[in-house]
Amino acid sequence: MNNTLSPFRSLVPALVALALLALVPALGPSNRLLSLAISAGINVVALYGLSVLFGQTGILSMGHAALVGVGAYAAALLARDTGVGFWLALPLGGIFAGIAAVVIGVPSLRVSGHHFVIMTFAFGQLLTIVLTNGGDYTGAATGLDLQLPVSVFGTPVDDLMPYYYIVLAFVALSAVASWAIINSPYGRTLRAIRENEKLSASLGINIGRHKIGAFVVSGVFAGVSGVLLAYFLRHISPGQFASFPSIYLALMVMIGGARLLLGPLAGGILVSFLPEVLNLDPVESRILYGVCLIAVILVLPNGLIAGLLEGWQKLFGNAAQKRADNASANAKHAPEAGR
Amino acid sequence: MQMAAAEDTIKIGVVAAESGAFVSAGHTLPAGVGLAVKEINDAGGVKVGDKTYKVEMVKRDDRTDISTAIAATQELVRDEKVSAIFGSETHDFTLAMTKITQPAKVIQFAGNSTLAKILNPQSIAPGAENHYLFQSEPQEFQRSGSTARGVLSLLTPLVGHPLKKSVVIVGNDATGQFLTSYYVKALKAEGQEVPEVISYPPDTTDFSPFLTRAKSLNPDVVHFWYNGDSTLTALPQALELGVAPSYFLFGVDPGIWKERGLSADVPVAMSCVPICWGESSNANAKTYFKAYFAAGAPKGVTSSVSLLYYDYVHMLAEAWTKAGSLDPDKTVAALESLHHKGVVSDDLSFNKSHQVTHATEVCAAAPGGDISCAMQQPPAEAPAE
Amino acid sequence: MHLPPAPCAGGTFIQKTDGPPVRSAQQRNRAVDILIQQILNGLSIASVITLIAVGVTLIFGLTGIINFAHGEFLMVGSIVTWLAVRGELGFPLALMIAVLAVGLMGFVLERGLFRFTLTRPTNGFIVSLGLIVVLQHIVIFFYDPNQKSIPRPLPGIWDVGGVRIASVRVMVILVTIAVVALTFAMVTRSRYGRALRAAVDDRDTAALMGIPVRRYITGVFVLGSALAGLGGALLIALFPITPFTGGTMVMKGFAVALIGGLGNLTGAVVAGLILGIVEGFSAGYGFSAWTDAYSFALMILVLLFKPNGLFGGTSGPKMA
Repeated sequence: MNNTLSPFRSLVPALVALALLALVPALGPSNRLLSLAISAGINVVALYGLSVLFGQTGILSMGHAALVGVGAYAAALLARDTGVGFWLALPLGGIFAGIAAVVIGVPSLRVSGHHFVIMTFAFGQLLTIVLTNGGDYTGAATGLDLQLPVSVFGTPVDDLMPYYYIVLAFVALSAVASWAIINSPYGRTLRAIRENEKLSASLGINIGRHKIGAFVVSGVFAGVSGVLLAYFLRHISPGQFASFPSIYLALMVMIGGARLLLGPLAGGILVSFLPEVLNLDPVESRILYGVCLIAVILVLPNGLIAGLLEGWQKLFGNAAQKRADNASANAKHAPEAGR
Repeated sequence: MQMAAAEDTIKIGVVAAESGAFVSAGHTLPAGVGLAVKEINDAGGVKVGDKTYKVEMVKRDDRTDISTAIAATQELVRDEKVSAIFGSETHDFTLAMTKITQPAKVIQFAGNSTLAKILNPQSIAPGAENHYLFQSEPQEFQRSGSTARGVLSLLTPLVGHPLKKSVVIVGNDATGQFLTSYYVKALKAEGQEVPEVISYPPDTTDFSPFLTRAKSLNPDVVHFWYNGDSTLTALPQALELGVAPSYFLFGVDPGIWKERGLSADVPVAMSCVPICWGESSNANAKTYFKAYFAAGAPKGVTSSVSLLYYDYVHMLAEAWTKAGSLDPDKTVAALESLHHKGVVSDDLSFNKSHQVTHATEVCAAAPGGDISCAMQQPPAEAPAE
Repeated sequence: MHLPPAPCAGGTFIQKTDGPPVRSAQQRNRAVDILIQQILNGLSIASVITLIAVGVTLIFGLTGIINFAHGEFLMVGSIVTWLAVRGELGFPLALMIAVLAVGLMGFVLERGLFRFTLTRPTNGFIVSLGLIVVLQHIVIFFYDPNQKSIPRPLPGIWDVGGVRIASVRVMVILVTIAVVALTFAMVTRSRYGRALRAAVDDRDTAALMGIPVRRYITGVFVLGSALAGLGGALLIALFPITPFTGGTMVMKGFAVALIGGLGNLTGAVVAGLILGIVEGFSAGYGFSAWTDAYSFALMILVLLFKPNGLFGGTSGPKMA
């Protein structure tokens, strides 16, 4: 990733996008749209976590929905057994999911890249099975209801619009948080590990701990997303956090692009609204959906946003690029000359 | 007959799986509701007070996805402003939907007996959280009771000796877990010994280990509870292993039995949800299904589920007329006091927990292929613990 | 009203070769008989899992392509078989057509899609996820999402002293053994197989040594796909299938391949056997609700202590 630009510049497009999204309610959208947008936003929070993991360390987790589920169930159980409400459940859900990430991560990271994918998938399935067989405590296959309302300064939130803003705020928070991680020394270390693990190890970096740390970070995001989901749907069950949702999350992050800040946002919105927009016969639309997916991945392997950016640069950026190329070429020759 | 203000329409919403994994059950909702709506409009509409209204069905596909189901419900409740919602058959979605319909005072009918978990005299009282929610399926102990009684009484003469031991095989998902707890109690109340309930993961295709275990318990009857597709996969395997001298298949309509050309060398009982379309002893049902399939609905394992909605559209219309108003509270009061003559029962009414009571039809196929059916009335009380 | 059973497509047709056995209840269900029966059940389960796992281990282990749509390849094999049988072609011919059809599909997909992902296997994985959706829904589009089945190709049941097994299950076990043995010989003993495993370890050196790596990869992918086609044909001979059946089976195939060691055929067979028996016994002796958990739990355990699988294998495709 090109770090010659000030790191703040990478934050700007995301902030602009978020500002635009904040204006959506002013356009008088239907409640259906708001509801779908909230669902998408909840996914985006989880996606930022996954993008930190995948984009910075190159590890793809196929059990992310299970971590979301941990957050959701934590929220529901806390509400049922201890009366802890929405605002306190958010950080707690993140913590519980982070712990779950450690439990999953420690064994999984002992195996190499592609085995890891399968391992996370397996853990996800296991969690679903445990929840289903958990008897009355976890609500078994029926699941749990969430009885407590979301209140802001004492007034309960009834309408969709206030909840939309709450979710949007958390999306913004996730974007800024992941930006901060990406541009921190920790983020640079993660990228170093991704580029050359052996070299990093020889420099004294504790590979395992960093990888697990990244996994835990992704878990925290997932946990928060889970709490938001639980309070939105008000009813959760194991099936919502099984393999297919995990696959969907991974798909969203791949399509949007994991390395750019706009990526998770784009991926989440696209995947959530594409079936809605392509309101064809459901079967036909799914075929088209799958084909588009394959096409996007093959043609734009870094995700849609990165692909769009590259296209933009090709169209408009040639002059600026040439100048930059000259500058870096000169910079390259200097040390050689000095040898 | 010219209708004075016939342009006034009442909207009723339907949220069902018209695509995705649950489409086989889901599509029956708009089909059943649609048929009822058409009949009402053809007969002139609904008379409420001194106005007559046409009814419009607004259906939304939930794509077997909870976010879409929620979005659809939000749309129907807040954007379309429907007066009532029917759905969904997916019990997970129904529970989430109630969180939207009830605060908005939209009357909701759903055919999930699992609603019993949230319906009780306190929760449906005026002002309480589920006042506008109605369960269009009998309480599970009733359905289980009628089924157990019917199955045993039909199978005993065919098998030729008293049936003492029953083993239940069930899919390990929400509905399976819920239904089984009641059915086992019902079987025991009928004097059966139930040594074990064998749960299989919902996606199982090879049932032989589960069936062999059942066989090792020496049952007189093996009961396959839920779901229809899995049961039909398991039955041939059970027959080839020779697991028991008789079987019961929950939710497999004799119509499917005939359509797929199934046969067995031992007696097989079947139950319908709630009445059979393939072969019925109920004259009302025959008329209904004729109209239902004529309107284009496909013949599927779950076609009779449409009845869990059809009757209640008519009942709702009757309630509006009786209340003389579309006001939700008055409508609920009317619904609570109505006795409706429907297909599933000549006397359909809601009890103190907004649940209905009616018979279940049970059939049995003798080894020669003869199928006989009977409507089984439910027990009045739940069996003692 | 007497209805003759109709062997239409979509109909299941049970015929017994003996009359009902005349025995007392105690004799009928001796514990030993039950045990043997469960072992047979386990073997039958194992044969299906092993067939899937062999295809997966070959492809995942030796070509570097992560094809999660392998289950859908299986399902396509089943559908082709179903169509052929519906068209009065008879099961043996239908099976061969299925093998060829899915092998061809594999060839087309490898050349057209997967070969572009060889340097980025994760993309190949995502592509295969898209393929899952496409394949499932193409089938639903042309047919419908309901169960499909064919009449039993071998309608008899063997009854040996109270232990019963359908002839068709015996056939599946035997065919699996034969096919796996053949594949084993082909991949392990031949020059082709040795060259392929060398290519997995070090692609560049292998290419330098004149091994046409790309062509071998295509070849293995086609072989793995053909195996999936065969598996699909055998599967529908045993049970009704739906367009979604592939998805539920593929995860176990991957788990078994990983447990045995990627690219290691012996491993896949042994692991398949172990898993089949474990699942059969757990289901049969009282822990039925957890049946699906064993493949995952076992896989996690094995990978923890032996990341290359029980029998050692490649560590999977290398990221470029």
